[in-house]
Amino acid sequence: MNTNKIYRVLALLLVAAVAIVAPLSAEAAGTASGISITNSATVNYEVSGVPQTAILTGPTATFVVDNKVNLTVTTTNGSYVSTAPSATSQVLTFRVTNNGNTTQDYSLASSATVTDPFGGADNFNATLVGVFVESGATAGYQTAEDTATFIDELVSDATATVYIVADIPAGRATNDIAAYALIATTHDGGSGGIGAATTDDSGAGNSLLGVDVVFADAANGTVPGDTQYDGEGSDRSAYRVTAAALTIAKTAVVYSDPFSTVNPKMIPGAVITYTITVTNGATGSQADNVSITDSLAAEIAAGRLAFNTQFNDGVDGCGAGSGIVVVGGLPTPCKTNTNDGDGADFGLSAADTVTVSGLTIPLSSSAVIKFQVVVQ
Amino acid sequence: MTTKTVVSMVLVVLLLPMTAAAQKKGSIELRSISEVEVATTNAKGEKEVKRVDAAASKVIPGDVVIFTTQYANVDKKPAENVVIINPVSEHVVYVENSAEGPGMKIEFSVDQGKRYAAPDKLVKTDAKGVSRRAAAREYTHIRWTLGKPLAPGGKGSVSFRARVK
Repeated sequence: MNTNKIYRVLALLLVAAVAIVAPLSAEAAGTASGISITNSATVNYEVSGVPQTAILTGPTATFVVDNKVNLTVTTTNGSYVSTAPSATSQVLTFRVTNNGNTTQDYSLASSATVTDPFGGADNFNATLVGVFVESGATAGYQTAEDTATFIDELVSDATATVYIVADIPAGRATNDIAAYALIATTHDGGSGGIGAATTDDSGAGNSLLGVDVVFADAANGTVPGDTQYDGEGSDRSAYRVTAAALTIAKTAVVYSDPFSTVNPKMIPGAVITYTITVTNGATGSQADNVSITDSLAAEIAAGRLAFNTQFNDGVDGCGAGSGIVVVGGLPTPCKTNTNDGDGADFGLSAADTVTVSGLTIPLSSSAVIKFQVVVQ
Repeated sequence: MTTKTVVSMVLVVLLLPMTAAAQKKGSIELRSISEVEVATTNAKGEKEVKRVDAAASKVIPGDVVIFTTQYANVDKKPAENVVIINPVSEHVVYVENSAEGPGMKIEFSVDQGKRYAAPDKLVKTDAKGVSRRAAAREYTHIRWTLGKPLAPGGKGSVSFRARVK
């Protein structure tokens, strides 16, 4: 085969490929409903060798293309949507496509009574479950923008992105799974707001020149209620929890005694630095709103310890009334002992207790809390 | 295509209506029918496929419609060289091998009726001059040619199937 021939073969292959793809994409949903299709023929003939006037069909055959209702719902989540305990506005993403030949509205609903599409076992339900349609203003779910709860006027072959948005309850453990289905139901297009639910005319008589509705959608055996020819489409996705893996360590070091900060001894008047380190593991999820409490009540009641109201360990020196240091997780290290909104206090949130709250600890990070006691 | 053939084709197109207009009222009657096949169960519980008028049926994209043209010679003289031409609606696609016409030569066109040929001779040529065999879905017209004169009172029918786009 010479080069010229190779080119021609290539060109032929290209033509064939284009020819196959083009009609499919252009006419997937088909001829629009309401279009009249007419058929008529012409006959040419001769009589005694003389051509006669061409005759056109007397009555032409005309029928109207009816409304084929067909839709598909597919999730774009290839696997679990990873989430964490107490996470809010967690998103499962779906696409709803109008495969029919008529512009339609679609009502949307979520269902928790489905099994896990990714092979695991569904074992909890999320809270505040909502369904919202992507507005197109900003890609991805935006609380302020994506507020529509139904799909309005979806033309043939067009696709809308729909989100199931939910909160994850506190206390869920790693690998807990919540599966959800999105169910879209066909409604009539054309009106402002959502139209009436579209009804199937398949069992009814045919209107000669009007548009009848024929449901042509498939069943989804994995979503209860989504049967064949019911005008509904559905698909499933699921949340899977990865809880933060927090570890906590506490050390005590004698910082000073009344006579020295060099080799201080544990004698009355000695200052002991307690260091609590909270570490989040490399896998799992960021820990938000972490609270740490350390009660000195028993020691104080027994008269053995007193809380040091002004922290100083030679590294962090705080002003009067600041006895707690938090490094990492909160902005400034020195915290006042009062319950004044800086995230730490002594003896106010709980009696004789160091309380630190609101810590954010990303993966592979730590928060360090330091305070001191004086030996009595 | 040479310039000559283009000119002659244009002439034919222009002349045909003029000669036709000179003739008297026709002696062949045509009637077009569009039908769909509906599967039903009869009184004996047997499955039957019935043809019903497409206008009285629900027809949606993907459905196959049977278009039939009935012809009859209502004159007292035989009609010769009877040729029936049926354009394929832009909203439907011809179903391969579905054209029927007893005793007739059936040909197809992919260029709005300029040229007709048997399916294995139909060629589509793109802008770069590359040719390939035309596909059934590209047929724009169907032509039936009756091989013998249609006697007075003689009648018949031709048909084809097409899928609604």
